[in-house]
Amino acid sequence: MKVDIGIASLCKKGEEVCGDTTKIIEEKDSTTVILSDGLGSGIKASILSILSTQIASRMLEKNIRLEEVFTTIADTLPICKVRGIAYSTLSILKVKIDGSAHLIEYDNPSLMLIRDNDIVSIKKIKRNIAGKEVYESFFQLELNDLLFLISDGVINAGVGGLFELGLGRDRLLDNIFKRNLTEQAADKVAKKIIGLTEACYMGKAGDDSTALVIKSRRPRSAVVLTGPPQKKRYDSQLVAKFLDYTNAQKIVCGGATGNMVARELGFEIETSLDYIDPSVPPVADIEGIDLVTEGILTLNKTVDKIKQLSEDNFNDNKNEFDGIKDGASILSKSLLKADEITFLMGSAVNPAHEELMKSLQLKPRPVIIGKLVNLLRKHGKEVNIERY
Amino acid sequence: MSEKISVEVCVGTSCHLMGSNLIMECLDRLADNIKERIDLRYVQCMDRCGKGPNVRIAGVLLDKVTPETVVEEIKKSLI
Repeated sequence: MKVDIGIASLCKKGEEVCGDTTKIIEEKDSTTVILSDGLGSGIKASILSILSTQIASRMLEKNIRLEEVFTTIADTLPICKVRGIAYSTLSILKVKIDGSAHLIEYDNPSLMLIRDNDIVSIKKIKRNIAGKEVYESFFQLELNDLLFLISDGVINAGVGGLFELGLGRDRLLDNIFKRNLTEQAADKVAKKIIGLTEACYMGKAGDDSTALVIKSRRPRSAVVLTGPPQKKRYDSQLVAKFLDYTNAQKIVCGGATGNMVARELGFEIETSLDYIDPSVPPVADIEGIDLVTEGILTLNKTVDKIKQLSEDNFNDNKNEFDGIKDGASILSKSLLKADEITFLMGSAVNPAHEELMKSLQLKPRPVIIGKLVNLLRKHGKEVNIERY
Repeated sequence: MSEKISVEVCVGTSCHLMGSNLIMECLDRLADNIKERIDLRYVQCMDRCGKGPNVRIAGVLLDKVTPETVVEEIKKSLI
């Protein structure tokens, strides 16, 4: 089981930065999300919440005990001169690939779980860690579960204005059901919750507000065929293997590879007339194949594009390829959307390419695929590579 | 109107690096009366990577072309 995550935030009116911070850690067998709300608002709150999320994420990555994480956060946060306390809230949710979830909450509104259009209550254990009352829960996720981690700015939206006591948990859930948000993608739900929050504040947000929405789903697979095999007599075998991946998005990278697939399938290959990015040759169409791109240049550019996504804001930025139609952007988007990726890499060498690669300092196929594989693994993808 | 002629431009890796994108830019700037008589197609790879850029005009394969030679050949074929 995998999760899609959507995040949307709103700054308190008059502030330029949001005092809430979120962090997503994607690993091969788990996804961890962290939400922290710093004391006050603006830059001071932002620093407090960034510190909390960073300390928590670094320590949890190293499997350090929760007690130590909270103690370190309490000892490290700078003390507010006005209120004399060091404070920020913290919610940490870790979902493993088998659907088991571990939740830790400190002073944030409780996580909400919607399953089959019903609210599911989660059993919590109260613990005292480093002098703080922390709630811990272990539960099992099911497919299409929808989870909400929100900061109190959402719950309190409209307090003393539109609503005497603010939007509140019940009104928020009611709105989610009434607008059928349970059927929508996590990022859209997050945006709509923040839209509702802003409306409740009547455009003058009284607090930083963040909605972190998690939706569980089946893992998505992709298979990339790039390069013909070393010996031409294995062409049909390789294409047959590629087509055997029935539940995966099928991607072909390479002109000669595209010709090989089209020939084996007995279909035409139609190249697009749109040269969107002059440095990336156009994509093509083969019936039954999801994406056909040129090879080396597109792959080199794809590595650059994925590298450029800032690590800290990776999940915010990975949607930046939406709507961009050059081969490298479409390939980047497809690869980042998949959880499990198999590269079927042919070893045939094109002598004409070799000379050009050297003179232009472009990486040949095995090198660039190696780089791409490492990059995708770093972002929590399960990647296999088979050579032919 | 006279029959259209087919113009196929290889946009494979080598041909792209050898300047097929410049050929396409040049074809895009052609006068409308010429453009409307061309059936333009891009091809993923013509399998003649050492001789790029490759272009096929009215069924005749031309290698190591430049934007100028392509325009010249198109004009010749249209006469």
